[in-house]
Amino acid sequence: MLSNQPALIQFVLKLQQIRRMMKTGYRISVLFILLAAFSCAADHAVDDAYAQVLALHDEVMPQMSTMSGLEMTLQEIVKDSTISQSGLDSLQQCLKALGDAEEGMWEWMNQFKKPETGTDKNEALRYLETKKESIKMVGTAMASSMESAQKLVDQYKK
Amino acid sequence: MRYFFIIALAAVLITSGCQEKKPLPIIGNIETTATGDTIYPVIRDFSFINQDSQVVTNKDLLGKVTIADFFFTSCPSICPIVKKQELRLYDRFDNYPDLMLVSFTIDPKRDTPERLHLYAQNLEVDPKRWVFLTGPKDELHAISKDYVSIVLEDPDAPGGFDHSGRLILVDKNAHVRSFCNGTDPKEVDRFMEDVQWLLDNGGE
Repeated sequence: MLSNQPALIQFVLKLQQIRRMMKTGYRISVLFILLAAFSCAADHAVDDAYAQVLALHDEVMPQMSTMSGLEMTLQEIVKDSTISQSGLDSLQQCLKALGDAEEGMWEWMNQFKKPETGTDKNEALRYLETKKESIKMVGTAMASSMESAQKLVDQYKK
Repeated sequence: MRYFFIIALAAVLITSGCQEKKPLPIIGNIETTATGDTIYPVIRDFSFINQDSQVVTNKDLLGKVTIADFFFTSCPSICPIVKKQELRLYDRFDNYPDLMLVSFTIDPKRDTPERLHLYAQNLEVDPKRWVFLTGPKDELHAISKDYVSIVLEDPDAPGGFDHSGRLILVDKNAHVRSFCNGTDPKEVDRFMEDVQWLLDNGGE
């Protein structure tokens, strides 16, 4: 019995060691799960912000076709030799506003890029926030130039 | 005698299952002249530059069946989806040298031949089978409006250039024969059968 005692102590010590290892393992696992959940949430935040910017773009983009149609109509009207100089000036001014707004949209799309995987989350969110604000401004410029153009079309195409 | 009935029944079942596809109509406003001649709408003449900086005109495409679309390389949403569907068409009809895909840019300022070349290179497509065209903005927007007017059967169709993601099938004689929403894979499946029918019928 006595000769077995060290073995028994060793066995109990081993058990305690295993328990400690399991506890540490459990803590590490929990930590990993929390980290994974946190990183998933971070990815979603960037993806959601990207989707919001794209949704704003998708609202504005179809108006480009209408805008190009208005531009073509105004270009036809400008050819009318009976229009007064002041009338021509407002038409040209409106054509310029349409052109600038259109250019603004093309440039916005040309510069817009989805943040690459691995980009710092805060940096990506800041970039997308800037793009969100700029696409809103592009949309406003387009709407305002189209409104003025439509008024001129209604005036001269009666 | 019993075998005869079984074979006859099988033949009836097989033939009834294979319904022949209806011929594709010519799309657009068809006019009749005072002398009684019928005029079918055709795609207007054009001359643009491809991704290899070579001039491509409508005459180069006569005698070929074409699938046309309007796009731009920086398009973040619709175009990548449509291009994926066009690649399906490109792969499915790789044994038909008389079929060409023609993508017109609607943003010529940024879509230079060099940029189109890079875009085509990334798609890994053969310039002999798929051309990407650029040119003066007014002319590109006018031809886009032309395609839309024919497709919508309305010569006064409102709006400017087309950015709907439509794919338009044009026959050997520049008549529009079919179109689909290029963002919808099921519509593209149906469109593929139209392309197949046109190719099987000599492209006209």
